[in-house]
Amino acid sequence: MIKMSCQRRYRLFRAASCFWFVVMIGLGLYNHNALVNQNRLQFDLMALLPDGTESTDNHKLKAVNHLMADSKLTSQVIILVGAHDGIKAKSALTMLRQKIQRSSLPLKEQSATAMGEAYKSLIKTLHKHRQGLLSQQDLVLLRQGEADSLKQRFLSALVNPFSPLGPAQLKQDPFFLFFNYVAATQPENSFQPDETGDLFLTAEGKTWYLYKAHLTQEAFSLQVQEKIAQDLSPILETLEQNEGVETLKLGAVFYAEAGAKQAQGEISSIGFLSFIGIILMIFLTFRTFRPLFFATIVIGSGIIGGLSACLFLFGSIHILAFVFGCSLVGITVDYALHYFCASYTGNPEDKSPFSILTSLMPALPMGVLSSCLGYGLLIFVPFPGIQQMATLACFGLLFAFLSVCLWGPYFNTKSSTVPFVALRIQQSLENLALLGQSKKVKSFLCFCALTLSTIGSYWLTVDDDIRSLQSPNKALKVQEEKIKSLTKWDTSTKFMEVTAASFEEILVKQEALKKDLETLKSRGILSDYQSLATLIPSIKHQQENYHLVDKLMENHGKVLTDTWSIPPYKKDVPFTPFVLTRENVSMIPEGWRELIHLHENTLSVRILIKGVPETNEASSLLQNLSQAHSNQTVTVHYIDSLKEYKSLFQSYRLVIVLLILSILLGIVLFISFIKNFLGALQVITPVILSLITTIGLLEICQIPLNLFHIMGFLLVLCIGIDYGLFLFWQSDSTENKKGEKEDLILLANALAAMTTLLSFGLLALSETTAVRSFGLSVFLGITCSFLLTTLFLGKAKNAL
Amino acid sequence: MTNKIVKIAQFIVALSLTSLPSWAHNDALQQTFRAIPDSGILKSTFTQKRYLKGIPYPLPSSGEITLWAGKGVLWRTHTPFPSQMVMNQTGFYYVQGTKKISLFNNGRIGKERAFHESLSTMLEIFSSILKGDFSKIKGFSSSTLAPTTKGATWAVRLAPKGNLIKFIASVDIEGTSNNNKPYVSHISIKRSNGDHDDITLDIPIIYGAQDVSKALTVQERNLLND
Repeated sequence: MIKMSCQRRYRLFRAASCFWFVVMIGLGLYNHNALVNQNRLQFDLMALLPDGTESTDNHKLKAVNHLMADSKLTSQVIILVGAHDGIKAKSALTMLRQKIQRSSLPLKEQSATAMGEAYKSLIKTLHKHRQGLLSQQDLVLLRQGEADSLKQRFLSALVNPFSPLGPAQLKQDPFFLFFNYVAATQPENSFQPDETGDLFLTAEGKTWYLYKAHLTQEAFSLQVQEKIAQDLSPILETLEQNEGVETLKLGAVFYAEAGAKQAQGEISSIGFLSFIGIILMIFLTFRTFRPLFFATIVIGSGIIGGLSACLFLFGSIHILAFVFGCSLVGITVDYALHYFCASYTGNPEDKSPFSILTSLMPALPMGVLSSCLGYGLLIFVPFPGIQQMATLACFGLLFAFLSVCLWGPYFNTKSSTVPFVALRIQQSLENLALLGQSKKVKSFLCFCALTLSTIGSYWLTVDDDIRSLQSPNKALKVQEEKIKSLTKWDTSTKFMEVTAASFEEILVKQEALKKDLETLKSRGILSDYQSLATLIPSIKHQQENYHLVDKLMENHGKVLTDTWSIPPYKKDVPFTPFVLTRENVSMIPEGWRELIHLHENTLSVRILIKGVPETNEASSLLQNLSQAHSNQTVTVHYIDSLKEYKSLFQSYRLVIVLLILSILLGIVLFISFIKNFLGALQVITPVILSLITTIGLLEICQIPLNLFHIMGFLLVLCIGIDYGLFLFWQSDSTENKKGEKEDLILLANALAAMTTLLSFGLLALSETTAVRSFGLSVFLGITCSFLLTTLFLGKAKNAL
Repeated sequence: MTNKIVKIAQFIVALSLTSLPSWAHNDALQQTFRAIPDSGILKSTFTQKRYLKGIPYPLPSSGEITLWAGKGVLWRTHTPFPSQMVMNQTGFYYVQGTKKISLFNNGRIGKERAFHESLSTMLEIFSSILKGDFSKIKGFSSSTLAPTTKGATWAVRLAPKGNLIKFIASVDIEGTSNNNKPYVSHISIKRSNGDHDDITLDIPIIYGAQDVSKALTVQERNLLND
């Protein structure tokens, strides 16, 4: 009867494990379809922002994103071809253009002629409205009643034979007011066109020709990056070698390609080290690959399940949430290793598929539950990235746990003899644990950890600046600096965004802002600014201009007659203001067009602000200015792009710190509930000491803490708690069933720690700051956590 | 009309789009020129007539011109109204009292490298013409002509190449000698739009670099010395 029952249970178990396999295959296919065919993997940083709410900070970040999209910063590709001989440089440019055209590179050239034509077309349109268009300088002179000055300028220009103002505009533009307006509104440009319209500049004894294009596909697409590496880079190298020219390139795609190359290099070096290390460690310890396969399958099933849940609940997943979520699911390696180690200590007579699992009770499910509880709290954080990561981790752990339960028996060791190496390691660890049984040692360790953290706190600094997290390719950075120095390009990251329902409201507001910006400029708070109102004044302002010009003509229009007896100027066209609307906004040329962003019901127009010093005073002055100009119909925001990203990173960092504290609290409450408060303190003490020691060590080394260190701490906490839980429940179980069983939990913890160190800790060798920060905190944290957990909670049953 | 305005705006840029010098002849003529010494000063008086399309009469003016080699040109009109204009490496200015005011708006355009380069080219062209040092002028081809003005003993036509053709049709320079020292006596600038300028220059006075204080007033030095 009992045998029948066992067989039935076994058949049920087999059916369940088969069903679980089918589920996994199904979910795997679902994920593949979602990520590969439906592109549901997000790369956009904005997707990490809280959705649906319109807080000021969110609005500002969105505005930064809009600016990047409108100016097509990520899709731009700039190449300069330089040579001492201008003809050689030009010929190399022609070759470059031909080669790119012949290749299948996803690049569309932005012809200088086309851009010039667009500008000419606008000027042609504006010429009809010229009586209302004035340069800032002329406007000031007219407002101040200094018409004599304009008259003097006009006459001086008229009699100078080399004056480029020339007499051609005499009839229609006396006093050269429209000419001045055109000159003042031309986008700043260091280049000049040659006979065929190609742009060039001469600097440092070389002639540099410009090739400007934009990508027709996503810059961060791996295929595009591969294409750039395979096709464009060789073209440039060939030009340099065969034509003796120098080439400089600039574009997000080059950095992305270099980043991908670096990542591939690191994957093949760090990844190889990690892979080999783990294989050797497992094999040398157990003389079998079973635990390795088992761990891979457990982690794999966790990721598949977690990802499916995430895609099902959110519709998509962000790349950062995916990477960190998978890292968190990686802790399930502990479950596999503990399960495998426990299989050595199980009763060989017990044929039940759940016998090993029973021996891991309640530590294993407790570990799963405590981690799920911790990650689960993240779901309440109003950041989609964090919610996705939490969902992936929670479901990942549950799926991995089920895989351990249902597939574990297939990976059991068939031997009951613990391999020699495994036994030696276990015994060494028990010796270490023996050391920790002295209260003096524990006190000393606590003292050391607190001292380190206290000393470290003296240098405690945080760094949320996105620039210090980037590790751009040095060669490309040098080229970028050279291009900037040659072209004098100044990419402004600070701007004011004016939003309203109509262009007229925005232009009126920008004109009001310009007055204050001029004051700040004269005080040195900013060096320059670019406002659309300079190019297209508001209707109100055009009317004012017209009256000023009319008055000038009335009082001084006879100047030619007075001087040379020439018939006076007569108005040839009636005044009509130029009205900018959604319909004609497309005629605004490049150089100005990127200032405008069209929303569904509203419009935003930016004022780019240059040369703002990185001081709180400058920032708050501009902030106050924007607030003072905001009202119910027109809103003005001062936005410092870098600061906004900094603030996003800071929010995430603080959220994760709070999360770490919440997880700790959750675990304390949970263990207190099912055991007692003292037990809870015992479990969390080693991991808390590890975290503060790690922070102390990082600070003593004067490494400022960033978001990625904190992400590492989260991983350390979740993994470290597991070490503690397994040892805590082991000691509890040992106390209850003294002498009945020998276990290899210290060994399993050591192997789990080593696996984590080899897979995450080695990332400390990465050249990418963010990855290195994460790796370093995991390396220090896991090392401390493993040692302290062993010392504080390890039991020395087998110690020699 | 608008195209013309845009073209004139581009004139500044176009002046520097010239290519290689092509002064293969006139060597003899140039050798006989008394080139202004480095940092030297040329002073002369002029009369000018501007023939502008659409205006039935020429616009006459007269005044004096000062060229400080390597620094700039001061164009001072006495009639029909007093005015002063300065062209130096940093820009074009008209002078109001003692103040220099940029002809090009608020100076924004002056930040651009292309503008600086074109200014430098224009200054070079003008200085070289006045000095008779044609070999240094880039972007023009030259041919000798028969003199047309009274008293002139030689004439040279400079024909622009490249983009300059859009703005300048030709520059005719005529000259003669005074005490066996050649000088430029007449410049005729024909523009592509049909306008032209006739400038007649008197015998210049040349000062060496050591005579700067004698040749220029403090105000003139300040205006040119940027």
